[in-house]
Amino acid sequence: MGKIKSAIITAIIAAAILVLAFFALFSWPVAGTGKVDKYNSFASGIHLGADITGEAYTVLYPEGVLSASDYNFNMPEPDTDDGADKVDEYIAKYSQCGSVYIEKDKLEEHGGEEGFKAKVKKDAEILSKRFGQKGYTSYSVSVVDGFTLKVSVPSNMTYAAYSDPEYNSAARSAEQSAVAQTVKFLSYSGGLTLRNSEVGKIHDSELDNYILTPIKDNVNTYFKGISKYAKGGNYAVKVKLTDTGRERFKDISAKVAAASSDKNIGFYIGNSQLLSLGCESEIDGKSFFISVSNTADDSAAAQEYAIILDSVINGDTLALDYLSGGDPEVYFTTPHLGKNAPVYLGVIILLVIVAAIVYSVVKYKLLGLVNAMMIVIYSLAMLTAIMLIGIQVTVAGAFAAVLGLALLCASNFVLFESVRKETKKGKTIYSSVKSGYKNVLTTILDMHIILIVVSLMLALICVGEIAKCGFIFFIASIASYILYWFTRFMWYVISSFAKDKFKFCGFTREVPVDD
Amino acid sequence: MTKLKLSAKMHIIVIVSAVIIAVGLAVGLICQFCADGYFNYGGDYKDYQTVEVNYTPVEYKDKEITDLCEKQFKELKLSYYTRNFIEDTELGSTYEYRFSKGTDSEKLSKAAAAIDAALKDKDSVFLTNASYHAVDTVLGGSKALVFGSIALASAVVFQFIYFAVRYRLTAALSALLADIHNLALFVSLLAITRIPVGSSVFTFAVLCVLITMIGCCFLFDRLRKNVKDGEFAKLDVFEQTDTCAAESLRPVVLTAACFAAVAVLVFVLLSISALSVSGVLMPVLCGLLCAVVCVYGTSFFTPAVHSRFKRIGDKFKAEHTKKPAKKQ
Repeated sequence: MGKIKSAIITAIIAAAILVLAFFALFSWPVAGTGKVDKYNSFASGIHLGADITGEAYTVLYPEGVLSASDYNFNMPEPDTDDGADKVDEYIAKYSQCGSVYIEKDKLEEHGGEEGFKAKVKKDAEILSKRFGQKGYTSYSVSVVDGFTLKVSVPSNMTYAAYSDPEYNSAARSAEQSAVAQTVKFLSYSGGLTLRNSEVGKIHDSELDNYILTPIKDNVNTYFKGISKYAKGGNYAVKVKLTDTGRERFKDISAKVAAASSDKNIGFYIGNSQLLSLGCESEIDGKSFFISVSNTADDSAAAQEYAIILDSVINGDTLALDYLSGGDPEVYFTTPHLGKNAPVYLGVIILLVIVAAIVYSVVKYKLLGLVNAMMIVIYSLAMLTAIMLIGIQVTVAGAFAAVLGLALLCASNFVLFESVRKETKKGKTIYSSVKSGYKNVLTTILDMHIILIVVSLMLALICVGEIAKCGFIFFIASIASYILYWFTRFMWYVISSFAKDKFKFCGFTREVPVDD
Repeated sequence: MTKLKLSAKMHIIVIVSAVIIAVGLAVGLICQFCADGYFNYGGDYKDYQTVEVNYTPVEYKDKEITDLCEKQFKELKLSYYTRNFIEDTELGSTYEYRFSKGTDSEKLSKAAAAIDAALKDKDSVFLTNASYHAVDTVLGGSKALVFGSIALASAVVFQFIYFAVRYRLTAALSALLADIHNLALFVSLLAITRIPVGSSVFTFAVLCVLITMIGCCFLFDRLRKNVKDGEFAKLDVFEQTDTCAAESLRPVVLTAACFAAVAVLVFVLLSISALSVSGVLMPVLCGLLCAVVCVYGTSFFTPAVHSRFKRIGDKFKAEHTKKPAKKQ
């Protein structure tokens, strides 16, 4: 390749890397907005796991249960006219059970302290199953003091929202609301009923609507399964019916379609309406879809509706009402690894990158720079891919990305060594490179095929953190293989400048002795 | 490096592995029935106890609260394993100190009461308080564990099929055995060392299998290439395998060493970040164990076992190619 051609290609690629690096790593106030708007870099737009930015948690109090603080806060003022009586009444209403206060009526209704505790424990197991289907990188459902539930999920904050709470308060409160919404949906208690305000079998005076199914019917037997459905950016809940369900839905949908004003079948969990299925005509099929739209996050909402409905039709109904006090309040905790964990993790990744670059430059001189260029491209590509796909990164996920970097470096180092061996046979550099690549072709290919397939399996079969790590490693392995071949191209381009190609690579040519 | 005689010493390697796995199984089973479980489950899987301190930042500075708590815990000889800070709750701010389930609950209640009393001396508002809680964690990771195990098993099966197609059935069998061996060894060492097992351990188990797969690729690829050389093909099976094991030792060690180096780096920097060694040390120790197991299993156990498999395979092949010749 000519030197001018090579210089142009190198300059274009270097400029592309610099521009990408600038947008990927630096945040700045947007000009002309009076520093109101801020451009957040790709790196600061990545969602981080609970181990890096902390957890979001909420404590769910069953109906009739108060914390000590709330109990004291709600205590009537004794100084008023009938204050003393009200205080006595208030004290008599509650029974102290450890650190919480429980209405005596509720305690009796649920079989005393032990009965109440057993119900809370059972509910914790159901909730744990429901949250398990959300695919969080980590989560926990705990029973606190026997009577309350504590649900912890990753805060899912970006570094921008985490590091600058005041500047990014909107992003923080959006995450807070998202978690609160999830907890609310997944904590609905009670069984499933199908309702309409005009037609139906039984009138519910409390909600002023009609239950559409006969009282003797178990609605759960109508459904085979309920799952989230996504296509072309639209989200829906897919409901699969059993034969009984198909017949029953044909009947009730015909009645609802014939109603004068309310042509909807309401899906209720307990007393809360979850979804509404519009019926313009009779529904006769093995399955149908209920579209989800106009929510803050349609994808998450469709998933949550599907989880709660599927859980309830499988008999997992919560025995106690955890939402009687209103929507759950969500709090953020600092990460276990310290407040500066994201910074330190960034430093670790940077040190690994620098170490890999230094090692390759020291060992392979200018050829090491080609490898360094691949390392930089890999790092930027991973950063961009993770940000665009929206993968939540944990320490393990960062490890998977670093392992991908190690794979790229290992592939290149194995190749360089193979070429070095060929040069020792007295071959020219071009011949050595050709033979070197040929020698390691199958090793590198086999290694990448195995790792790509295995990481894809982990991403598709696993749930939670392992699935995310698998997906990151899948991207990393593909990037590694593409960059492995790109190394050859850049080697060819950049080495065009060098007069002594062997010196460029840090190799010494062995001249064979002619017998 | 080139004088490794692993194949001839297979019995020693198998004995070492078997002893470690047997000891791990024994320790695990004893602990399962007499102590806290097969593994020493870490904080994220265990029940725990907390002392929660709510306060108003107007009245108290963070340091005052932490100093007060540390003083009380020190007096009662209580040690917590993690401390969480929760900002901007309806009660102001909160510090949550987590203690293991085995900590004396009476002492914890006493500590909470003492902190509560001390806080109320200064600020009698009900928003400032300290309380003790017992937390029973419902194991939410079971689904992740089941699906993770299915994925891992599928990956191992895929590797077996791929190796059988790309190399030979004997190589596929050796790689399969290497995966199982390394995983069993890793799990046994976790049971023996009683390193607290948290959610990160499964990630390391996956990494253990991945590094083994990479190592097996290096080994069998070397073997396939070297066999094409006439001189090498004339060597004894044991010598062939030993030579290739020695040649592939460097990349295997390098891969594991890089992994271990990153683990140590993570430990040092995250310990500084967390201002505590305990929370970070255990996952990193898991990582180091994983690296050691991978090097031992891939570079020592696998070649030793593979040489036997290869000998049997070659013998079988020779017998089945000779027979038609006899008939003629």
